Amino acid sequence: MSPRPRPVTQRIAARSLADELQIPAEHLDRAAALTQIASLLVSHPQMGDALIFKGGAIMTTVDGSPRFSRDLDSVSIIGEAHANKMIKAAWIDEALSTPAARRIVRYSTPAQSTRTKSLSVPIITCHSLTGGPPINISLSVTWREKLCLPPVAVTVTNEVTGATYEIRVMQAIERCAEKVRAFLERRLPRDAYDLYYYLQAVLTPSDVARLQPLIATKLEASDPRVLVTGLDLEQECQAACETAALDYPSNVVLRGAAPTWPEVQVELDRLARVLRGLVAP
Amino acid sequence: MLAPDGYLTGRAALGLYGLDDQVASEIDVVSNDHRRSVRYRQQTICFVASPARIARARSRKRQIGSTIGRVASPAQALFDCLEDAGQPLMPSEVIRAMRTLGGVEPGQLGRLDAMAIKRGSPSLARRVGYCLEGAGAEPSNRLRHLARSNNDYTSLGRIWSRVLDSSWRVITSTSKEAILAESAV
Repeated sequence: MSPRPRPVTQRIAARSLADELQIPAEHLDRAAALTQIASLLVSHPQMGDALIFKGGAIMTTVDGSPRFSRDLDSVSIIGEAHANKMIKAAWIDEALSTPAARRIVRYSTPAQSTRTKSLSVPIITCHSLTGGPPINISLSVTWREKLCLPPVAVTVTNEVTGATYEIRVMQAIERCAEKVRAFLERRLPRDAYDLYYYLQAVLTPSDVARLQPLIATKLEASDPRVLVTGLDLEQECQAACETAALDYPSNVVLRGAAPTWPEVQVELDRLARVLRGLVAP
Repeated sequence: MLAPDGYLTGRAALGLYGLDDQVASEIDVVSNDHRRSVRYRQQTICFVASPARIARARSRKRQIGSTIGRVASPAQALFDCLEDAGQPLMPSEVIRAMRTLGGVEPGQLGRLDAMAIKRGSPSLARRVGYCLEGAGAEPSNRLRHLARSNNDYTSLGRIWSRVLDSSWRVITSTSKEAILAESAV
């Protein structure tokens, strides 16, 4: 008598998916938890309509970037006029402690104000959907900078449960402009990879043509200014590439193989051309 | 791989405690003997052969994937990150991790201060002191004295431009104000 086939539970299906994608199950867990936390936050009656998501987690879930992220970044903006809305720490704590949240969140540190106009929850420990150890993610919400472009509504899918959620995200071109600022200020290989991905797979040529004024606006809003006023940004981008190349692909964890540095460099050279004639404000 | 006394440290250990928001591509393991790096899917396990470090390290047993292994305590993991010549974390990431740690296990920051004093390295004392102060902790006077026991400056993180912090004698690439702003996001 042949053994009865084992029923395919969500846990088994998730582990099979991780094997298929050649990634540790923990990464799949984290991606799933990030989308679930985002859905919990947007379900909150007072702040749900004010949260616009951005950052690495959104690049993964919305743009399909193969790079993994551990944190969920959000900006708080409301209305057509993009007037800033202050988010209260208590609202975040409420959103993370509802009965629905308790099925996902095992423990979270209280939301804390890190500096003016921003809040963070440094540790949100979530249950693993693949049967592994609990996973930690972090959340930050800021309302320091105004959005340059209206946000867009997107539907994201939880890869493990298959559930879909509606969230609003910052437009890809604006996220790319913020990433350019981060790359010029930090010169990290992971920022170089993200820019490569934006320019190669997300932005259209017309988007790239609109990028320069957005970058200028983002640099203008930097607080504090990291780049010296009057600095030639094309040269600064080339210098940032040289620094990032030394460590690449350190701390760039992707589904599949990372592109080689010359491949990344081609896209960053395009970016340098976008920055031609622009100086740090 | 961690048996019998080896322990997991660095960014991967901080990630297990929820103190780092990036996924580690290199998993640092301190072991008793020399071993080659091992590639596992998208991550590389790098071994640092240091029986002396194992002897003095503080570690905890934690679940790592499907197994139980020794993981550096949060203070030890931060200490190892600052001691490592490669310094895998940016100063802002170390400060953010320390600030988070101060909120959940405040005693660990005092331990970090004590570990740096015990090591007796002025260079390490400068890095630890600078980051502790940035995280809002009060470094001890003994740590300050150790950091200023010679006139050298010590680099913190990858350096592409020189910003000097004269109080801790540390060289960084961006101003302390910018590092603190970055660590707060």
